[in-house]
Amino acid sequence: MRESAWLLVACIAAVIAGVLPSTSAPAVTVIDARSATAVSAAHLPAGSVLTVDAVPSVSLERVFEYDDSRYARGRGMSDRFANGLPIHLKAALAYRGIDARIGRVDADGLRQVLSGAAQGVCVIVPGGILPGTVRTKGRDAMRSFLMRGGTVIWAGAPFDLFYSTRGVDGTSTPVSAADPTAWPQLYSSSGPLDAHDRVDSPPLHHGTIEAPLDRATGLTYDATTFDVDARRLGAIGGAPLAYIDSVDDSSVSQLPIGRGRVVIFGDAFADEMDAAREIAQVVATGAWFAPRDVRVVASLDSSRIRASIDVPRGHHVFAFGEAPFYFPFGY
Amino acid sequence: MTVRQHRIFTALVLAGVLVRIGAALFTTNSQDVALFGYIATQGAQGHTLYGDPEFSYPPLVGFIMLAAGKLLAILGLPIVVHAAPLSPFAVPGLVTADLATPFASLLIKLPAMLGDAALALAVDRACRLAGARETARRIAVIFVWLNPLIIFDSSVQASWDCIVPLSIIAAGMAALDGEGSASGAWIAIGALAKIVPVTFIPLAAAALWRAGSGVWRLASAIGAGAIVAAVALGPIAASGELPALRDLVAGRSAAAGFGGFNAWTSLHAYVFAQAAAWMAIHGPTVATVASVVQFVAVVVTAVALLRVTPLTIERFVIAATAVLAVILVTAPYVQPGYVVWLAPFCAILGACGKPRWNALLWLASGCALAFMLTVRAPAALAVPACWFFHLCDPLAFVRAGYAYAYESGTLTPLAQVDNGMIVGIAGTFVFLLVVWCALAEWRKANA
Repeated sequence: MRESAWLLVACIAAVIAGVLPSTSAPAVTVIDARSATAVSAAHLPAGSVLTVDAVPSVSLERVFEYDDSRYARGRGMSDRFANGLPIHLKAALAYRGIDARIGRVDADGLRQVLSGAAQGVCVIVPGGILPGTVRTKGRDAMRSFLMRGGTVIWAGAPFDLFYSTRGVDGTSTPVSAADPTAWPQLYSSSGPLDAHDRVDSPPLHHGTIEAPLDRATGLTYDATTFDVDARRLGAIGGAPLAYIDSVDDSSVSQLPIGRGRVVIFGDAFADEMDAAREIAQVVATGAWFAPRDVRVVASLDSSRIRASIDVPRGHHVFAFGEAPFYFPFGY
Repeated sequence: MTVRQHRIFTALVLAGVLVRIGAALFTTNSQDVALFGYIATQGAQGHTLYGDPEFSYPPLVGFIMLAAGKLLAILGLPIVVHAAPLSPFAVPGLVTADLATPFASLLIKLPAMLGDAALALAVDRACRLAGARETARRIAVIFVWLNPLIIFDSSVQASWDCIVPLSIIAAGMAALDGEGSASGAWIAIGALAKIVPVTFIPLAAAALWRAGSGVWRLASAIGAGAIVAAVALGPIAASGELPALRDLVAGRSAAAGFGGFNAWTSLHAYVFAQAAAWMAIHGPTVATVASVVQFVAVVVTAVALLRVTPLTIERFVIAATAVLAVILVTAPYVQPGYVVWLAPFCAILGACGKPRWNALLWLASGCALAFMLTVRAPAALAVPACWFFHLCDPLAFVRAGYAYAYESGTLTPLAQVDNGMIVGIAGTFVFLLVVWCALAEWRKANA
């Protein structure tokens, strides 16, 4: 009886220690006053920095992850990734104060999504291979979706350069090269993308130079396996959001297309957690929408824990800690 | 035992403490450490346990990690840092640029290390109950306490595998003493940390029944287990996260697949490509058959325990060893750390004058440790020592880990999978040998 009592006491102690409020946790408070916004941090460990952004006030209402195992899935894709990303992304956005409806679509569902309303809708293509239901040579439903104001987050393969048709008995077929001439501005000799990139066993590259906007986005994604030339990207209104490599390729790039926009990651994601954090950070900082409008308005640390800032009209404050987890948040 | 022997024993126990602390401080680069670091960060931030669905462990581990995070927040210490220069060489699951800080790493691993100590004490007590000689008993304790696999599992990997044998041995001893409530509480604590001990409820119940306990003590075991479970699950239920916990645990076991430290790992070989394709379709059926085999093994063993006379701790240990080995032989996915479940039982039987069990202990531990080092990119494990203590060049080590992870194989796409496959197949043979020896031991004890 005494042994069981001790075990019970130990269990109760562990649970209480786990659920007690964390009064010493790093925290950030944002108080929106009429004249200025006050941001203050508490309990920041020495050496840690809190970034405070003024970000455009726009929102994504619905997010769809495309995956269909009947088609070629692309680099980094698996059942675990496909099942986990919507759940992790929902949580990662919720931590950042964003409540979005997130779902999964297969090849047929993707065709419906791309042909429906585009404003406020985001489609994530984490494997970078579109199915034959929306993309073949000469046909591209995603292009019209973007032109109408949709948002696409792309990873795992060169942007819209390959597609897959459904094989016999549900098996996927090898990927086929799409028609890059559908994107003359992107894939021409002066465009930022390279039509010669290949999707199978490409040589891996990484960027180590921080892009000017990296401080505002806090992104850590650094793969530049598939070419997105940062300078040419800038020339057509886009912006590198994270890192740039020695040949000026960008690891995460935002590009306006028509009334819509695309965010391109330079390779596959490491895993679904990594994908969720990076995508949530792109969304929360507003970098997906208007990266040039995102401003770092303050940096707080243990020596400077308070700041009063002016937030431009149509913007709001988003504060975040350091990678990899970005805790604490304030908004 | 002479004074000199006593001093040597004390020195070895202290050595185990120091090695564990050193390993915990200098190696922080494993997937479980990263996950626990995340949960600790979540705790420091005041979020709930299953607020983010990455955490798919039972809640007791989680509450302790949340508490560790709060303590680190009180001390104002960072938990995980992003080492940006290392990130080009990150390999998912093997090499990471997100490093738990040394003190956070120590705190995260401390509960598992204390679990090792409790396990060594439980082995000592079980040996006493089995009537083992003092020297043999102490050797058994040292074989557990200084077993490199057990040290690696808790102090490097931050894994809680020691809780499985600890709860089973303690529940078995309590049951044989007729202590129903303690038996039930131990199984509940084990299950709330690692789930597997639930499988041993029939064995503990059989032992309790045979101890002449009757219905009342069985009821007290169930009651104590239920109270412990209610304490741990109460906050989860209150925050509305019970469905998330259920889905995550179910989803995790469904997604486990086939492979790891067993013969299934050979499905990675080019030569078995057709078999792998067949398994991709029929895997769920094979997994169901494996579960049925495990269930039958547990029931048959529990019935055998009910019929054996006298029921001693030694026979309980033989029965538990057989069941564990059957689980490891038939499980679709086996982590090398699962050998930690088996090793203490072998040590107890070895102390009971059966030296072949010591040979099995070291054979199983050696194979599992070799597998762990094969699949863990050893150079990457030392990266935190380079980064935080400047003992070496972190970039050189992380590059070495990266090169190791992607080295081409001969039998499979990757060299590390080649090596893991060979050791994994050897592991299955060792598990089969353990089953065979346990059955032989059982027959001999009943003869």
